Amino acid sequence: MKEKTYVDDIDRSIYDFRYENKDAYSIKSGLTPDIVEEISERKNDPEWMREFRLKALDIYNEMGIPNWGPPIDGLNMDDIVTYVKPNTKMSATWDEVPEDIKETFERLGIPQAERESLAGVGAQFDSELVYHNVRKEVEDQGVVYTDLESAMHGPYEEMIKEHFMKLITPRDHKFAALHGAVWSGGSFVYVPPGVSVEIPLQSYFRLNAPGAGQFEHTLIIVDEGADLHFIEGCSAPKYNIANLHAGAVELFVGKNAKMRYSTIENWSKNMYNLNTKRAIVEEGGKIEWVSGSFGSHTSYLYPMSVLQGKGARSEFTGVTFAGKGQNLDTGCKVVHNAPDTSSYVNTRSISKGGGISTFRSSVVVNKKAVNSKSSVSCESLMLDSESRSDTIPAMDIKTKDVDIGHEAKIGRISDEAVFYLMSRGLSENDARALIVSGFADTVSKELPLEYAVEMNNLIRLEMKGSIG
Amino acid sequence: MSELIKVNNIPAPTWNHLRMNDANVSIVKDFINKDIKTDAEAVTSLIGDNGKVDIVEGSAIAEVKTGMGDEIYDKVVNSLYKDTDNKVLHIYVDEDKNVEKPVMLSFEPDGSLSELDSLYVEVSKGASLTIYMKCAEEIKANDASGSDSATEAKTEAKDGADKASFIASFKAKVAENAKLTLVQVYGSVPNVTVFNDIGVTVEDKGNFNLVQIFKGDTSIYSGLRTDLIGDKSELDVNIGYDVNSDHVLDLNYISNHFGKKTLSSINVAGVLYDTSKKTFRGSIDFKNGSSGSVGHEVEDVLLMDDEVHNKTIPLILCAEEDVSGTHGATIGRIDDEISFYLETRGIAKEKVYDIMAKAKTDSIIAKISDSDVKNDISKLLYGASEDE
Amino acid sequence: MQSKLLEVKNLTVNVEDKEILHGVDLDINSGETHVIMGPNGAGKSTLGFALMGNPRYDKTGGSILFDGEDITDFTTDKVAKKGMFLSFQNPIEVPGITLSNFIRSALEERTGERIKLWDFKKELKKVMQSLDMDATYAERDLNVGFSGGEKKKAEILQLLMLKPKLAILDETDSGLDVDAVRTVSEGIRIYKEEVKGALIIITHSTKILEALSVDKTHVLVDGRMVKEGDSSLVTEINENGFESFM
Repeated sequence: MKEKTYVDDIDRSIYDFRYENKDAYSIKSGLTPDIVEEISERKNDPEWMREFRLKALDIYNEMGIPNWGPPIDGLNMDDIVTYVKPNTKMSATWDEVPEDIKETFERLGIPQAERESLAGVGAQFDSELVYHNVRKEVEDQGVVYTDLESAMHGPYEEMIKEHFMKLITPRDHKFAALHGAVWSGGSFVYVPPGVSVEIPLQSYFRLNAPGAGQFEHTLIIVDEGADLHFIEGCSAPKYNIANLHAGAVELFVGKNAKMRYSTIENWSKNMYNLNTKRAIVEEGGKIEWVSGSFGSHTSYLYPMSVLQGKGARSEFTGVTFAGKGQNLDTGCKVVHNAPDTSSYVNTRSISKGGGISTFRSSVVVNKKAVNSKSSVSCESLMLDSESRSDTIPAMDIKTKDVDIGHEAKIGRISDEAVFYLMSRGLSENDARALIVSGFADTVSKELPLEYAVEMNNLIRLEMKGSIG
Repeated sequence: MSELIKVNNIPAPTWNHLRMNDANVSIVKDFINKDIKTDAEAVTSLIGDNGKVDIVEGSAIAEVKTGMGDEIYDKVVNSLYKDTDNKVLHIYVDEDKNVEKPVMLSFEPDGSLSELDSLYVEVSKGASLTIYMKCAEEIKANDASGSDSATEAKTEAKDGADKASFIASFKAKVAENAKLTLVQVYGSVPNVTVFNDIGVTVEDKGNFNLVQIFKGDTSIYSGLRTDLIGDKSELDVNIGYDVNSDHVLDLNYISNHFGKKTLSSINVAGVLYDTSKKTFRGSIDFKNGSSGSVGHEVEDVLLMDDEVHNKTIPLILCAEEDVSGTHGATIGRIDDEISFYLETRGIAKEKVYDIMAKAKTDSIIAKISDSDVKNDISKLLYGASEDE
Repeated sequence: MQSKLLEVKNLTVNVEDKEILHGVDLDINSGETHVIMGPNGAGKSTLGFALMGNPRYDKTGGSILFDGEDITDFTTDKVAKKGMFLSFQNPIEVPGITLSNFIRSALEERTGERIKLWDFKKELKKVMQSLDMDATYAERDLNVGFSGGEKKKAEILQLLMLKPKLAILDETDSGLDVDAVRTVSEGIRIYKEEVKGALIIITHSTKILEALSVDKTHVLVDGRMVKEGDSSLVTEINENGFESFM
């Protein structure tokens, strides 16, 4: 028997389990200054942060929603619960995490991954971190990996104040303003000069409450000559009402420093993922983004690299898989602001079962950025004619001594390739899944093995029921 | 009196801050009130008994959509059709007739008042027609010195907003198995801002071939929308440009693939000098049902001066599985290896750029099959035809 | 008496701050044919690029006299205009200009005069025929998508059209099939016969040399000329390799 539609609701079960968190504290839905004040109070913000939130709320109310990109009318802010606090404190051992929450993360494989292949883990459940721990040898190198809230009350307060929402300001767009007003949770990482963190850190974001929003803020500072790989994972069970994710990631990559930021995003298909990620790279530094977008009902996601120092570099490798009911608008932005900078973008998009995927990018080369290079390559795969795939790459070049290249391709799975694999004994489904996995392997090759495996599982899952 | 209008809207908008979604431009609305006597006679004798030439009202062609978008019609052109003597020259070619000689149309707007020139072409089943449209001041033969006519920037201070407008509106229907070739050349047309707007529908196995050369001391807004409605219908576009001084070249080219096994190719090659600005929007839009269709788009831009500003946004929109679309863009300087290779054959570094810049236009001229047209363009651009 | 065409004295060349040629001498008279042999990495291609004035090849010492003039500090185009030609081992693809337009531009640059299209096309066609080159290549972008053999033929075509006093052929025969080698050899023969120019052939095989009378053979090892001899040296190296020179 062939598997058909409703695949989402059946096979996503490993992500879709949910539990009723009766003890959790939820703020009223909607968005008013009172609600923002209450969040600020509950979170014990310093005064500057309280003021920041209220100002961001004003900006949010002033700004309009984007006139490009996927529709977001299904999202009504009056229905969104902006703050849901699980009934626990943040722990540094899994034993202290309440049983059902711990069970959630066990099923997602987080503690196991921590034991086997990570230097540190943060786990967020709804609006707050429930677990944060970093290996001692990494801590001994002077690496700070903690939640942003406690860092704000410690010796790093000034550093946070100096960087928090300076790269992504509330004026950037309406959902950045929203984030500024109601942000909660997320991680703070500081890697001191010259320190190389050999194995990755990971934060996992789980949104459990129906109709809720998650607004975590990740602030990472990789100081001069340091090196860090940070992995971000996210998922949520599916509900019939809209959930919202409007997180922010701000990365400061110092002189000659290197950072890799990997994400496998697998939000449930009722999620509006309006996330903002940005990195600023100083002289000789490098940012590498690895991004897999599989979940969400609607996504707006374009990690941005600001190449601020001479010789700064960026690489973006992304894959987006838009299945039934999904409208995923993803891509990246690069701004070349200094001489000898280079950017490299390589993406793959797949559309299936009526899904819409859009690759959107912008490469801006400013006057100062002489001798810069940029290369953008994007490929899209259409798996049927109910789906849609658009490519919208923009290049804005303001100086002459540059090498800018762009190429894009759109097409389908070749019948010959399917036939070839079937002649070796694969079913048509398996053949197509294998071809799609191969198509996306630019990204999976960049991921640590276990994440690559997870990504290929996700692809296989999405490919089931694609024929018939 | 002038009015600010939006032209060249991209079919799928992106971030507003990039200012690529459309162009806002001021259009001077003091127009010459005229009909089309002069050209009509010449054209009539050329078409002969292959078809007919007449004058129609603007309202007759309202349904053909163009690349510049509706606003220029809603705010400017339609009222000219209605309230003045501006009419549309209509060329109709009968079934299976091949008009051998190209129809030559020459415009020399003087810039004192704005001007609208409208053309509507119907090429019937199996027929073929070539139209050559030239808009330029004729240059004197003695200042022909080959490649450097374009490189010498003229830096007159002038404000685009105050210049008269020259609007060329070209609409066409290409029937089954018919072929329409349009060659347009814009040389130097001082004191006007050019609006060159094209809308064409192509039926089964029909072919629309467009060659455009924009090479002069003028700001130009140009749009093309082609609806490939018939199966196996084709669009072939080749554009060459030089933009100098503080001029603007703003392009919006849309290929809508409706029919099955349709084919489109958009090839753009150009050079930017001085403080010029160029925007190229190129869209291949595979509609649902356009199975078996193929679209290619490529732009190659050579940047010659520090203050140039290049914007490129090549779209592929796709709602059909069984299609193949590609686009590529190369923007910037000449690769060091290439430059060295050319230098080993005796070409000085500075000359490498001039030669490659000229080659861009030449490669577009080479796409023109009619040798009279080719020679006329060479004369216009270089003062001598290629054979001399 | 034959006149001296090229006189390289104690030439040292750095590439990215590393010395590759450590004092090379080379004398060539007008119309002579010289062969430079040597193992991989000896600096053979470096010598060609350095003579041609590639800015990446930094001449740190010595001098190059060519046709009575010190060209050590000449830019590449000036060296070319003076009559030196380098056939690339890997000819560069140049999108945007056709082979025909390119050769015409190069000739016009050389002479400073406009060349009549008709005369040019006639000569180009004739030379292409002698090289067994399909006429359509003339209208294709320079080297773009050409096979290895067609690229080498295009180099020889340029050699015959530009008519230099000295041609340096860098591994022009490498990677070619028998037919292509024959065609290229024929091109070189025409060059010798009609242009009467001098030749430096950088090679590691003898096939291309069979039809030529070689005046001198040089062996370059580790950036130094270690041996000089007549054409018999070619045969010797083919039998015994370079070991005895290393």
